[in-house]
Amino acid sequence: MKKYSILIFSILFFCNSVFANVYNYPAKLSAIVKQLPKLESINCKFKQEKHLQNISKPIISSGNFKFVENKGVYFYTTYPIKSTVDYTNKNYKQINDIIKALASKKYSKLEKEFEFFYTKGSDNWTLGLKPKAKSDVHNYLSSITIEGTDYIQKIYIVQTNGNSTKLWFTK
Amino acid sequence: MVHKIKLLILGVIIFCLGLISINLKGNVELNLTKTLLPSTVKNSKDIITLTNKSASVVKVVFESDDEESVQTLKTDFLDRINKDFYEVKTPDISNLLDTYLAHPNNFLSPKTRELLKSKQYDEIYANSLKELYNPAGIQLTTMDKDPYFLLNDFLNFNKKITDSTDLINDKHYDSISLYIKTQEGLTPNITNKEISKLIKIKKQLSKKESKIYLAGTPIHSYNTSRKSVLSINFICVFSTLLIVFLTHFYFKRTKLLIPISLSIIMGMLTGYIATRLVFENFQIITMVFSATLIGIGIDYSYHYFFSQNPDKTFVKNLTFSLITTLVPFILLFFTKIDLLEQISVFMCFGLLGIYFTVFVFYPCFEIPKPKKFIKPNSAKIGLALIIIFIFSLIGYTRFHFNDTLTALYAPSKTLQKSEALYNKVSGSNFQMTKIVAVEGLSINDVIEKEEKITDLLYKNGYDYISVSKFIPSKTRQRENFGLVKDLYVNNLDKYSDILSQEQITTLKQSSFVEADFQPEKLPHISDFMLDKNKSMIFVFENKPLTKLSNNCEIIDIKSDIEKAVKSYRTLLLKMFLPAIAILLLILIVLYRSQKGAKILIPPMLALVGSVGITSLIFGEINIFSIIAMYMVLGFTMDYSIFRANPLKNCEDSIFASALTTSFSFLLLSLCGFKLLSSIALILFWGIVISYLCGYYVFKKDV
Repeated sequence: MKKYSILIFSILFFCNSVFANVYNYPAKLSAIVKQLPKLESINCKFKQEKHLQNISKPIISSGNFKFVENKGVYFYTTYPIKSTVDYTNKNYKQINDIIKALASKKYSKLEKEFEFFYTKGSDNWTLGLKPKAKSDVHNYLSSITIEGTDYIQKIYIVQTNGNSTKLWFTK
Repeated sequence: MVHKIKLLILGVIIFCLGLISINLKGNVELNLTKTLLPSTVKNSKDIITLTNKSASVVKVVFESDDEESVQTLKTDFLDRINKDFYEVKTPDISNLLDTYLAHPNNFLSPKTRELLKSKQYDEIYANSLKELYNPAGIQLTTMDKDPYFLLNDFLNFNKKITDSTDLINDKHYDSISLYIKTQEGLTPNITNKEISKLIKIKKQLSKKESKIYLAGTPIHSYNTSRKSVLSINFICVFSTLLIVFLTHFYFKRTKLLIPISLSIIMGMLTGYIATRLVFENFQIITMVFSATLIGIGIDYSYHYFFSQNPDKTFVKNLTFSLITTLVPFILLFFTKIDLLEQISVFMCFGLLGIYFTVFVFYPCFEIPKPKKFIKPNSAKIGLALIIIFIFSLIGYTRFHFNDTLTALYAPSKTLQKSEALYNKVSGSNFQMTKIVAVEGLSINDVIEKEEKITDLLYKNGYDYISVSKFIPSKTRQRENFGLVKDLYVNNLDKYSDILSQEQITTLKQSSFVEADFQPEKLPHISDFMLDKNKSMIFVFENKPLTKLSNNCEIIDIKSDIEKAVKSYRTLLLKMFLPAIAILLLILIVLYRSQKGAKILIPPMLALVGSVGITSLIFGEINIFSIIAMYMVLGFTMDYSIFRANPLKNCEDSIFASALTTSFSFLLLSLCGFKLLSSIALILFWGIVISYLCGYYVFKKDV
């Protein structure tokens, strides 16, 4: 039992470390830009796991995801409710701008708001963004960690109020 | 000996007048809006407050190839500006956000309020689930404090109507606003000095790849005054050269410039002192019109010099000229429009001052015999008149009145570009059409009154921005909390699979705690306030605003100013016929013959012709063009009167007068400041046409 617990604890520690590690590697945008792929339009599946502060049960949803180059992001949630979130509209403009900037490699738009961190594995890469002290999002966002290969596979958003969201994308 | 004593007395009088003028107390009014909007116009005080607010903000845009360079440019710029004069207000929402987060149940968007009032709890629950399961949705509070994400909904509603942008065509941008700190800082001399320093900093820091753009009312004012000063200096130099040349050409003696200068100085001083004594606030635009006295001073002087031995005929001519020139200006005094009354007093006393100087002191000067030069060619004059009137007729096809302030000022293309760029980068790229001014006993009272109005605005589909949008009143917060509590009591159990029973009970039993924003201490609150307890709601729709409430006034700046200008214009046009009728009567009485009526013909033709040509060139006539028409009527009588009873060297005298006066106005019409050029163009063509027409009308008399 004790060995089993140690194993689980190590796995969990390792998982957190994967995300935590990237913040040990600050990077200049000019260096990151050359290494990240240009993201193209894509249709795939997504899964979301949200952990809200003071709520024991995680909030889980899934559905279909569409990214259209130069336009934006669409989430078609199918479980547990049916809803569509269109990030091209005014309400989600800030998030949409971040996603479009990442996809089109116009990262300098993000320079104003975020500090960058980056690590690269053999097939994958991890990009970390932390809001600068003077940025608009600093009050509610702690970090955004993005992992990918030739497309974005994972996004991990941590808020200042303790809420966090993990998103997985699968082709 | 007598002459020397007289000249000494003249010198003493001018010196004393000069001392009086320096020591006069009272204000000089520089605000064009205040000049055109008398206090009798409704909302004039608020409009003037708004224009003063606009006059205290300099807009700055930073441009470069990448974000880092933009921020470096911005930092360098801010390091160099005079922080005792300017302050940079950056919106710090963290205090507001902390207050919202501490009291999430006190704030509701109008849509949610309506849903809660009509107890449509299922719809609110469905919306909250969408928000809960929204991938990458950012919940600002925790579910145990705001299970329906009503605060998210409230803040989404309050987002800016348009968004700023920091990337245009691969160039990076940032923008700031510099606020002039003090009222004293708005004095033109001080502002212009600081703006010129700002422009120097801009030039020092701008390179090929990094640029700084400046915009805002203080920049417009600086550019206009600089251009005007340059133009006026240029005009003064060249006009003076022409007078020197003509005087030397005709009289071989430039010493005659002394009496000319003395009469002009006397006229300006008497006009200025009289105006300052009669009126508490002296309008700076009065000085613009008063500059025409220089032409009168030169005209009267030349008439005196060319007549050689001024006899009874000369005295009669000059006196009749004075009377007929005074009439249109006296009429302006009865318009009850402050600016026109001031112009009237200035011009009347100025004219009297010049007249007095010519009669009393000019005999002290020795006047040499002038050359005879001018030999008018009838055919050429006739041809010139035909061409002028053809163009004038064409001009009437474009004739229309422009009562907007834009008729008087057109910014340069560079400045227009800077303004457009700032609007795009800062997100101010919206059309604010109207302002609703709300007054109360205290700021909370104002916010409560605003809420009644904004509820109506929202119901009628208007986009708006106001203090109450961000800072609900205490009453409204209490109402909101009550509505939310009803929602919890009736619907919150549906969240029992996510919230614990203890959390549900706590929410159902929660008590209202008022969020005290202390609005008077918030930065940027002054952007919404006209007065200590008078706020502004900015409305962005172009549909007519029906009566909202008894506790507010609707201000449509553009429309209010246009209405005021149109009413002046209409009054001035209505007064033309009486002015001409009175002049005709006076002339018939003075001349006791048809000659009196004949004298009026060239000025009348001058009016018709000058309006047509101005319409051809500018495509429009504005309020200041019409005031200039009164001046054309007054000034050009002079040429007709001296032709009707010609004296020695009459044609040369009239030629020299018309040439010097029209030349100055021609140069002034070419200056970049539309207000000045619109006055000058009417006067130039009026003088030229009157001079040419007068030749034909009085051909047999001369």
